[in-house]
Amino acid sequence: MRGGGPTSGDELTFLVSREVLRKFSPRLLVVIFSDVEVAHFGSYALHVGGIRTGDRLAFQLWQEIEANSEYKGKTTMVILPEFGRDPDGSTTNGFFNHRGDTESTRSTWTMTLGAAVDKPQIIERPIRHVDLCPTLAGLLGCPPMDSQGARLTELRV
Amino acid sequence: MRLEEKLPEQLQDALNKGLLDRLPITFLPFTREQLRNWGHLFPYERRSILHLFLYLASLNEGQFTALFREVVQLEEKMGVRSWQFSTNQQTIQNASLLARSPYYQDWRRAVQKVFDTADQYAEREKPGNAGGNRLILLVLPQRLPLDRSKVWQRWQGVGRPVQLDLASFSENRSPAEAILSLASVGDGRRLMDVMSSRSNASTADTWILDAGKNLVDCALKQAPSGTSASPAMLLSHERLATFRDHFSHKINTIRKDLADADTVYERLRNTDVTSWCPPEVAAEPVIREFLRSLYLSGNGALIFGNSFVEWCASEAFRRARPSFLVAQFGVRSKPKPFTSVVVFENPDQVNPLPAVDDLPGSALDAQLLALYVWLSASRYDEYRRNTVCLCMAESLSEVYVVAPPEFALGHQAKPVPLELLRTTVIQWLANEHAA
Repeated sequence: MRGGGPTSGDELTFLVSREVLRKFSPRLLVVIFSDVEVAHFGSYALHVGGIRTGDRLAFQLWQEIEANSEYKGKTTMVILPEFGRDPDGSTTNGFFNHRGDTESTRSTWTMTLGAAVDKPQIIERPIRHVDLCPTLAGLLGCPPMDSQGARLTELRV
Repeated sequence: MRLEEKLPEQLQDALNKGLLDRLPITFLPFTREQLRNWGHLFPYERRSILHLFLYLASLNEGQFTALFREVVQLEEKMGVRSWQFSTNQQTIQNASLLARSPYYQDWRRAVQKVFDTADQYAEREKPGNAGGNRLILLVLPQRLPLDRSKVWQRWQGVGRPVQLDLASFSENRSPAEAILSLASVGDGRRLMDVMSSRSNASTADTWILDAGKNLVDCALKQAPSGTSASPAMLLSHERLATFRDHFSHKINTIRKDLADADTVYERLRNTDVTSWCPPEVAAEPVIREFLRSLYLSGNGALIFGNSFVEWCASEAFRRARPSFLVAQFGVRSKPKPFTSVVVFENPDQVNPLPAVDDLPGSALDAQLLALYVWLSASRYDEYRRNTVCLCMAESLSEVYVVAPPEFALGHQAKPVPLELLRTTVIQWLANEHAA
């Protein structure tokens, strides 16, 4: 702890993820960062701190991928924030929660890096959550699945 | 407000006619709880449930069916009858079932419409109960570092900042304490005296919420000697440390499933918490039960003092509609390494590292939550008129004023002496007949 080791739940998650990449080189790795969940307890400063930590660790994870010969050049990393948060003044106590059926909870973004991306681009049209599952399954080489969503044509390997 | 109080005769009559049996299923947990806990309801809640039942009792069969048609239709679409849904009390399982339904928001709106209709009926039957002038005083204490150029940005111009002249203020107490206390000169009235001298005065009409304890200590000193009654609803996060420790410890025993959470919550609903409370809470069953319910409802009230203050205020507005509410924010510690806040552990007990204050983080939390207090008040009609909201940034000698035009200090260009602010808000609250 005092020697520069992990100091939050997400730092520990990152450390374990990095070791898993180095030791086991799995084809699929799902990492869930959750320091941002402190929003449910009402600290906006710690929530924003959690976003910054997640942002930094996602970048460090990408650097690790780029430095690891098992992964470099043949890996796609997808960053999926789950959802937005309730707006200020909502009956669900604003940023504390994400219960409202509103634009601010439904709108979020996703970012993809690596092998599945031909060229740098921004997709401006709305992408549905249900499109992500068949897209990720397609990237892993799964056969087309019975799904409400459709594969995103911009991402392919 | 004691548990053994009987239901009002009119309400009992309505119940004797079998009103409960005719209510939609999803109305039952809430109404049964309210009736069972009548002795622990605030005057506003009692009026609200009384209005609902008197209104329902006044309806003929066709009108009754029409009033609840939308709720009943939504219950059918949701399939409520096939759920394991408690009709006796509100449970986490109930809340979870409702919230997962795609019709949840529609259902909430339909339920609210029923209550609004009942309130409109009550207003027609007994109009003009405006409640007089109201004051919300938010305090960002001296220790919180604030940036003058940004501190009011989130308020989006609903009010304006006014400078305070604290040059002559050299007392050994905070400006907020001075506002609550007797002046060295003047007519000898304190804000709480004004509130208690109002006709139909109720303890629940004044709330002092404190992330620390100095404002609650200050209010307790003002209580008439020889009486155990609190002059107001007094809740200090710091004075509630023992309560929180016991409560968090019990919550921490929940295993990861909803049924177990309901079992632990049920135990906490029935545990005698009196010995965990400071005297001002132990002596008042209604505030003790408010606190229990607040801690059970989450939103960080058990974890952070500032969240406690914000959520207390929000629940106070919803349940009690007070005329005077003070919410003072404070300083929390930085999270300790590996101490997860989500498991309700007391970091000072499980981690030997010393606690370190997070002043910039606390200041950011407090600024946003102060705004949230105002936003939660402004959801209700009662606070859309005759209400002054003052957010005092002690470290900047500045107060942000949201007020109707007749509140004179809202137009001040010169720095306002603290004593003038104090006497102005006393005069404001003394008007209990504002329409």
